[in-house]
Amino acid sequence: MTPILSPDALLERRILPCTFHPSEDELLSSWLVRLAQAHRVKVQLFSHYLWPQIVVWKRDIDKLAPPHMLNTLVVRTLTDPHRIAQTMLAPAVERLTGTQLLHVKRGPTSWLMPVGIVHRTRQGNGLVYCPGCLQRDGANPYYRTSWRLAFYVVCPTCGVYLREECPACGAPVNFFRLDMGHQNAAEQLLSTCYKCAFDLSQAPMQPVPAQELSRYYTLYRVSREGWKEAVPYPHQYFRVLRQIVRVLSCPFGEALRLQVDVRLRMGQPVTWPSGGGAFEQLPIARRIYLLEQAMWLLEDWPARFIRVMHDNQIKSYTIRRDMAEEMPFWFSSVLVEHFFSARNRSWSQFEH
Amino acid sequence: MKHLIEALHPVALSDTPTRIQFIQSNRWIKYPAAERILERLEELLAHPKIARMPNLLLVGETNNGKTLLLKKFCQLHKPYATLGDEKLVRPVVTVEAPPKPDEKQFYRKLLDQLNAPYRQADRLDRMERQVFHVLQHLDTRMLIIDEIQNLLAGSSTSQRVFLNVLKGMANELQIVIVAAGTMEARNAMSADPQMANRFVQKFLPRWHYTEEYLRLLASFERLLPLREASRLTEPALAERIYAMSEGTIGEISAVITTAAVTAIRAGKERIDLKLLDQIDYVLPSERRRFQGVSA
Ligand SMILES: [Zn+2]
Ligand SMILES: [Zn+2]
Repeated sequence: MTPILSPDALLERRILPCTFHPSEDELLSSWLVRLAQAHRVKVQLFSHYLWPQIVVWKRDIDKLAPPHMLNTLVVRTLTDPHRIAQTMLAPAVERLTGTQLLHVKRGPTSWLMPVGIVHRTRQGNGLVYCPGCLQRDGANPYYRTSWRLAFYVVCPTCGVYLREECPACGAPVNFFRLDMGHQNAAEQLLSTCYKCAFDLSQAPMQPVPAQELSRYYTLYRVSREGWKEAVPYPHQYFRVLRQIVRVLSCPFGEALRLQVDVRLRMGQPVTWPSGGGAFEQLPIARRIYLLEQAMWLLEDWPARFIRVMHDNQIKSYTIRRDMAEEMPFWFSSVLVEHFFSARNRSWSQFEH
Repeated sequence: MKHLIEALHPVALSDTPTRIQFIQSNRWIKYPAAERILERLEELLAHPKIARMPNLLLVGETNNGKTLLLKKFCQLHKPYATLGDEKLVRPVVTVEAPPKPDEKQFYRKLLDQLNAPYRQADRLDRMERQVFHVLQHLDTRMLIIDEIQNLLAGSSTSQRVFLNVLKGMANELQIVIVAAGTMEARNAMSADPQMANRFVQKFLPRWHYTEEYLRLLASFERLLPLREASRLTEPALAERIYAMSEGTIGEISAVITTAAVTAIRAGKERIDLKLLDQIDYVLPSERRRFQGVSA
């Protein structure tokens, strides 16, 4: 619902002169940078003008911005509060994890790729992009909320793999640093590499094979509306997906055996890169590698999963090890029925 | 209460604070000279964009209703949002000239007025470009600069600088510039034949004791929420008010307003000669003389 904007209210609210709505699925930070450009000022000045009391770029405003920051935008732009709320990732992450995201909570968030602090060099690439989408945006390229989510590794619209770096210089995406040292910041499209000025919309596009693409379609559908009737909430699927990915990313022992076997069964080459870490912090190539195996394992549920686990003699302990969140019933019931041995004492763990 | 317009009957019957607040709220009073200028401003606002836009210089003495007239015009052309709230449009933008002829100060005031963020220490040319950009973005068709004599004060060099600023804005943006100011502004502008050519001058003359003046008093009376008729147009009262105000509408309004408030506070319901004697009112010319001495 759009509130009725009376002329007096427009004056009283001191509406910014060059305001516009965020684009479809646009990230808050991307919208802010474009608003600053529209007013012909640098991002830092623009945010200082609107929020003199906070250092906007030191926090992950795309995850969840403080309420008074959002209030200012509600008052000083023409965009309604509901639409502004959609520029943040909190609702999406809450759907995927089934837990409420509190702003005070710092540190890692499941499925959300972390971004570094502005003045630090970013090693981790917390934001990816689709050259095709940036190209289609024409004169106003912008960044999508889904490009911060760790399982968004392909673009469902363009059918290509997303990219995490500038193909020319290897720098990560840092569109809010574009105006540093530039006088005419307003003329820099958001698709410009902040380091070498390469136009990221011209980056090479690598098509996703049809079979993989349909897996991603399914995954993205699940992320919005749940898996199936018996598993109606996205988090009931995504908790398990994250656990399988964690098991597979362990580079030794049973897990290593498992992931080599899965790759062979999928008919794909085994190229296990060294090292590990949280899924959200892995380079995109490794996330693709792991996601595709995990999605494959959860197909034909539970027959394929049971067969592969049994063939590789994977113990139930390995499968549920370090699982931080509560195990959904559709998963725990299969574990109990097919993998639980009488000697295992932690039976109660599977119960709800 | 036949002396009042009907809409004001409830106000006249309300409590003291409500009535006083109503009286002091600067209501617009129609009079022919102002109506003619408002019509001219309407025509200018509707003028299609051409290379050499017509401009207007509104000249009048201090306190002779320029600012109120311009405010009235702005109220008729408030900002609005385009369909879908996508974009803000401000057809008319008003700015008061800074006290000194300082270009940067002028642009800053304008950007403040436009609610635009800007860099205090920005270079002049960048500031100018930002102003142009924002005005274009807002689809502004008329820029009103009040107290223009402030910008045209000082040396002939600084005068020329400002006349060029105005010329640049009118040319680049193809907007109508309405400058309002005192006789000094008129003299400064006349010094540049090219500017004098492009700024058509309109005057808000001082009031004389004529039929028109009496009609103005009658209009005032119909809008004062007093419960009894004062008959301001009676010669004795009309002459006294004229003498006290020295013929500017701002002062006429001030005398009547002060008298009405005093009446209400004293529990009287009309303005009469005795009341006008009671109010603490210094003649405008006296006031100026005092200011001159103290300055
Ligand atoms: Zn795309
Ligand atoms: Zn680059």
